[in-house]
Amino acid sequence: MTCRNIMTVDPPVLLGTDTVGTALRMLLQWRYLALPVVDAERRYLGLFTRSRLFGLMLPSIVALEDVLPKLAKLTDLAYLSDDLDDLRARFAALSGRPVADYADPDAPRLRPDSPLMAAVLLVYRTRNFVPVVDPADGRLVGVISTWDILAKLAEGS
Amino acid sequence: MEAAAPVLGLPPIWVATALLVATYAAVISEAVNRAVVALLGAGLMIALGVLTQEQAVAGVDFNTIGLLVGMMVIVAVSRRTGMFEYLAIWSAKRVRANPAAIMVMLQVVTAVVSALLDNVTTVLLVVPVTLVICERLGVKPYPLLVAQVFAANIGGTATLIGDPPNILIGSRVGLSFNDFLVNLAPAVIVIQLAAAGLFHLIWGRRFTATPQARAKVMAFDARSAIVDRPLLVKSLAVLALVITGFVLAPRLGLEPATIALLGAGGLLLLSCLGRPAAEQTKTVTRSFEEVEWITIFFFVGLFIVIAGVESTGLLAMLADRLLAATGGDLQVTAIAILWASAILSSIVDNIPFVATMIPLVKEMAPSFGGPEGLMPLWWALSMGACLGGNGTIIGASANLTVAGLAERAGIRFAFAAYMKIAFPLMLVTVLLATVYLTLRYL
Repeated sequence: MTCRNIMTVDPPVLLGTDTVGTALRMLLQWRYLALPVVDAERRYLGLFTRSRLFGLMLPSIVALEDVLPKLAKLTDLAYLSDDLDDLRARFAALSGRPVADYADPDAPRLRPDSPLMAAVLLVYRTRNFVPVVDPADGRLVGVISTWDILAKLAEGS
Repeated sequence: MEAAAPVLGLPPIWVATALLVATYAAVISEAVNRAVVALLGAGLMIALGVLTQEQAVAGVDFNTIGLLVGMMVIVAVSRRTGMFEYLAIWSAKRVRANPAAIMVMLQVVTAVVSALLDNVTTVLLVVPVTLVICERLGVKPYPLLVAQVFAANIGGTATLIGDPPNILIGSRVGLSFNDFLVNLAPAVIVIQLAAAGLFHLIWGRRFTATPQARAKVMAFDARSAIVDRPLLVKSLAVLALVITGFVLAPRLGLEPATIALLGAGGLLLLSCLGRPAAEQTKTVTRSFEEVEWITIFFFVGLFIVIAGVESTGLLAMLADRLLAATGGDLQVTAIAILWASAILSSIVDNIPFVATMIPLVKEMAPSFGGPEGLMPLWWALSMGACLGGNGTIIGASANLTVAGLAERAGIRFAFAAYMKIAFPLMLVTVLLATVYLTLRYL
């Protein structure tokens, strides 16, 4: 069994030119943890994640923690007294920016012919859904979420 | 065990020289990670018959390695308390969030922390919180980051443990924590004050921040930065004991590595006591993960490469040449070492340079009345290597670390733009060091 057999073929997507504000509305609407970002030809550009959106509310150094040496990780931000208005102001300043600027092109992805177990492992590790991209033309062909796998599991029980 | 047969019948001095040059070239090119380069150089030094494995192992200075690892573990545990964020926030609030004064304060904090920890560790601890302060203040962080690079390299010059070149010199020559403090700290204070003044003239005096932005920084609650008070108390106690240990080391008959490793062991014990085994393993693993193993393995490999070169008599030959060039005059030799170290350290990594210079300077002892006569040369080497590192982005590991952090945070840290400001400033600091050396020792 491959990803082609279990993926959701027509997931909601963001266009690279959509704004961060649109992304927030769509994440809230679909209650997804992330959305794939594509261009007008549906070529996959990257993944716009909820944690990336959260990162935009935090000091910029926090959003870089994954690529920084461990010692550079801030211990806590309890000393900041920001309130919701501050967060809204920070978000408003960025909400008009295109999501393509914030999509992660290196987020894990699968191919339509990737085996089932590759998908199970990635969904387990990312605790998210994984985009399925056709390596021939770079187009997004679907996504595999926890629910896709659990639904298949339930079918047989 | 005998050394392997010399390759192609070449004299060991040629093989060792070729390996040293190739190691230097590869480190400078940055095409391959420097730890990998040094380890390959070391392995080839043995495989090509310059050294036996026993000689190679004997060439590794475990005092330097132990001191570095011990201090890195202490930092890994103590930083989790939030004490370094506290220090930076406290200093910013002390000056009512005035951006020009914050630049001065953060330089002072960086220099003091750098005197007690190695430079890379220092900038990794203070730069992130500096970026948070700049962001809230609406001030461009670049000038502060450049000033902090300088402060890290200048402050690190003050003590035995502040900068890898000093750790190397102290360990290989047998100089104590107090020797460095008494001989270099006075110069460092003057040089740091001068650098802070120059940075103020170049950038600081033009800084502005709105009252609202300053109010945001003043609203920081420094005490909330401390996230683990019991661990803070333990960390401060261990740090105080370790520093006291360094000061008393000559009387205690202990090497700095022993003190640092005892401190690391003690702090790990205090942070693990009374916790379940699995949690203890997690804490210890996390602490060991934060040790900069690239630096450690770089040192190990480099020591072996230098031991290989030393064994062939090449460095003794170079020392003779240097003495001939300076006419055997202490003043000329000291100033030549200071400036040559500074200029070279601004373009090549100062660690391999200092590691090569130490045995070379030692060879000069007979010309200057024995090891005691070499003291001004050690201070010249230390100040030249540490201060020279400020000249370019690639001059010291701390510079590269800050540049890397800045670039990732979207702050342009260009080679030429940095050098335009930093190189002349570095020359001023070395000029001050020249005056200090001349007045005090020559």
